[in-house]
Amino acid sequence: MNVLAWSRLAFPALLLLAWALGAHFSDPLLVPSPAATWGALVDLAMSGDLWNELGISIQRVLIGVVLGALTGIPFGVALGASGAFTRCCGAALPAVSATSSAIWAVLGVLWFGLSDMATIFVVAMTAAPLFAVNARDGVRAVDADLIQMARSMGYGPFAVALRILLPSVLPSFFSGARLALGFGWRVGLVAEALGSPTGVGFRLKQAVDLMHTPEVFAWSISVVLIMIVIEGLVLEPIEMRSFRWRKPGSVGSPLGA
Amino acid sequence: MTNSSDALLVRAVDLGLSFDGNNGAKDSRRILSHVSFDVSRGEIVALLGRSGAGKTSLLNIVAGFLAAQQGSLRFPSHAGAARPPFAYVFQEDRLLPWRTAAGNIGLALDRIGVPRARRRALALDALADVGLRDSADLYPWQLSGGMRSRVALARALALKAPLLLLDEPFGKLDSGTRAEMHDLLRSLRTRHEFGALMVTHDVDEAVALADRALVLRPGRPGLREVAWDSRGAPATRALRAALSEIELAPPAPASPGVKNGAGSKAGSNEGREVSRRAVLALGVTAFAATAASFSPRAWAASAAPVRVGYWATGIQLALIELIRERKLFEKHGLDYEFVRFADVNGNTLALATGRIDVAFSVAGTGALDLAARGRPIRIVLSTQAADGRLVTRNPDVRGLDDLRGRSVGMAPAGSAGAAYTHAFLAQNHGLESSAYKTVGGGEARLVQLLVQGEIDAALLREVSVAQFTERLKLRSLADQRAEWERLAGTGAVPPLGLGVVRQSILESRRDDAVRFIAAVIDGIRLGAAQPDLVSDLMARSLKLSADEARAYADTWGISFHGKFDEADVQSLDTAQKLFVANGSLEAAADRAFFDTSVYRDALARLG
Repeated sequence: MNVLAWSRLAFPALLLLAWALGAHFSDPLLVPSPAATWGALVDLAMSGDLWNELGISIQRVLIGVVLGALTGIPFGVALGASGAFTRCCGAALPAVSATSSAIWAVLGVLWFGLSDMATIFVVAMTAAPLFAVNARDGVRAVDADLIQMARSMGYGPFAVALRILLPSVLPSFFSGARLALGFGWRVGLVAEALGSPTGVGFRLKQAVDLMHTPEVFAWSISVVLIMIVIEGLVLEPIEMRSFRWRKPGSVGSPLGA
Repeated sequence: MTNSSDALLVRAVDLGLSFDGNNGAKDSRRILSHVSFDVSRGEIVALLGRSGAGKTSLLNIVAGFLAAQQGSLRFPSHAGAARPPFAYVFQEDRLLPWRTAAGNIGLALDRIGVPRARRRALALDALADVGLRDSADLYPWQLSGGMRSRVALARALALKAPLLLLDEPFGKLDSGTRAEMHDLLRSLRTRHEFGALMVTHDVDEAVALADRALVLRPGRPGLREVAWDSRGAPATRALRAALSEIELAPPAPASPGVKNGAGSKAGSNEGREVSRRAVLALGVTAFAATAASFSPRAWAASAAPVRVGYWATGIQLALIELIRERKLFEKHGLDYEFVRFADVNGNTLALATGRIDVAFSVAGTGALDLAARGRPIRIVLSTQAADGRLVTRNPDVRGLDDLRGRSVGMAPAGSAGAAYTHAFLAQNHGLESSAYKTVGGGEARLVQLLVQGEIDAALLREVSVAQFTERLKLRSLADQRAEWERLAGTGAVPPLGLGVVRQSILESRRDDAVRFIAAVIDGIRLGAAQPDLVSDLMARSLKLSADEARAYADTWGISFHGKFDEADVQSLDTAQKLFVANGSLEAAADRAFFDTSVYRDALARLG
């Protein structure tokens, strides 16, 4: 195994070691051992709960992110393209993004009760401003020279939008989507813990209330793993494929190249 | 000059342009006036003039980016065509960064209607034309400046327009590369027979490429034409003379406002790497520190005050306030300190890890869980009862049997309250938990869901029933304490909060445990005897309205139990079997963990 591979394993190994040590020196009700957590994880997986609840939560988060995109992107594009629109409605963006997710979560639970909409609402309200900000900045950063070049060829506005604007703003949309997915996943769990009768967040809260600490850790780990899997198996390859035209090193990636 | 009409590409007559300043006509500046010229197929015409003379403006008028204010412009060979009769080559290459070299040429081929399937082959031909066939699949950032200029040129030629408009196209290249581009453009002209209008500020470039030059004279009408028959020194001299004649300033190195191209984006990868490592190290340290803080602390055990844990919520807070205000611990001779928790399991965990010595109302499942795990604790009092009524405001629900297929709200899944509700519905009324839909939640949330009609019935604590029955027109379907007596025996209450003492206290300072329990029972009795005192305390400590505080006072006797005799042990045992059955408890605790002697001694102490 080469140095690179070792260095990749070093951090997880260190983390596991620190965890095992922490568990050894503290109460299992506070820090369960990695083995106990693994056992709880296996139990959850075998009973099917793990997949059911993850499925429920992921579905809610995805719907929320899509709703956030459907509202946020057009809004952000309008902000980026029109000064008049920015003057009249621009204040909505900082207002919505400054509103704490805790407030959306409480309102979502209050307004939508037990339905999935409570969680979806929270995720959508968190995702929408992220999409909007990135769409706005993407549209503002479009190279006017390229538009003029395409116009000089005789391309009409629709063709210019398709061939120049869309590819130009796609990276911004993508980073918006990536942010929204990450925040949505975190915020969605909080909303579930607050008032949903199902989902990972609910199970996490329930496990805490019942003092099933290994289960708490098992859910937590599955939540983190899911995000890493989505990042590594979905977002990263899509980004690599879609944006391979970009000069390497000009774009950061949480997982490294 | 060949001026036959089919070879004429563009004819400009008397073009004029002035820029209006912001102050209107006073500031207006005449850029071009009475400018007339032709460009024909096969010739390259250079457009010269000092910076600000309007070279690029003139080119932009021809391209249609700017509208001329006077004069006319015609493209005789292209009348009525849908596509522009020209291709524009910009100062910058303006390649699309997300397309390869071939893809960029595809943009032009797409424009002239080449079907997708044939674009690749034609793009490769166009690239071969400029000597870049091998670079077809490289992205712009992978190409040198000269290569990018070639791609831009190939892209313009791919439009198959008869006229090329070039705006200082080689201005950014080094002199060697520029000379190569001149050779290339000349050979392309021979092959493609285009006509070109080229803006430049470089006399040598004009002579090297063009057949004649148009020199713009700032502020003066018209332009001066200089033609030459052969390239070389005489032509250069003639052109220089013409330029100096109109006071051409020394050639500017670059026109103002030139954008920075790629720029240096090398960045400091090394610096980033270092800071990444620093963050990693910081993270590991922080994690280690956090883990270490969980390690058992050396808590002083003897001679220290008894640490009394409590969960700061609802009616428990009233009991604590009552004990504090009436100095009941002092009255019973207990040296104590309060440790307050914000979470239902706070004092349970603190008991398990020895951070408190006693707690007067630990959640039933939590206390039984500690006992079942063999933790060094004893359950010594049944402090609070899981009181409450199953209520509805749905007119269709007249009795418990109507709940089949409906939603029933109760304490969160896995809690003691939920277990009792499920148990009495199943065992006393034959309503298995599969017969209705269970919705878990806290008291306020259950009330909210009842109001919203999301649930058909809910088990609310007595204090909520007292507060909301009239306002929400609630009807009672069952009384949980009465139902529990049917399950666990007369006099039994469903245990909710339990008094718990660490075994070490019982072994070394048993009197303190007895004093503690005696003070708690004393407080419960005092509250039941003096409802005014309770409602006053509730109003003050929880900032409740008089009505709400009164509701707590009225239900004090139902909520608090404060006993631990055989019936209570039996009740606790029944309860823990339920918890095991529904999975919220892994195993039942040994009865040895239920210690009734402290309660008996406390009663004796109270007299």
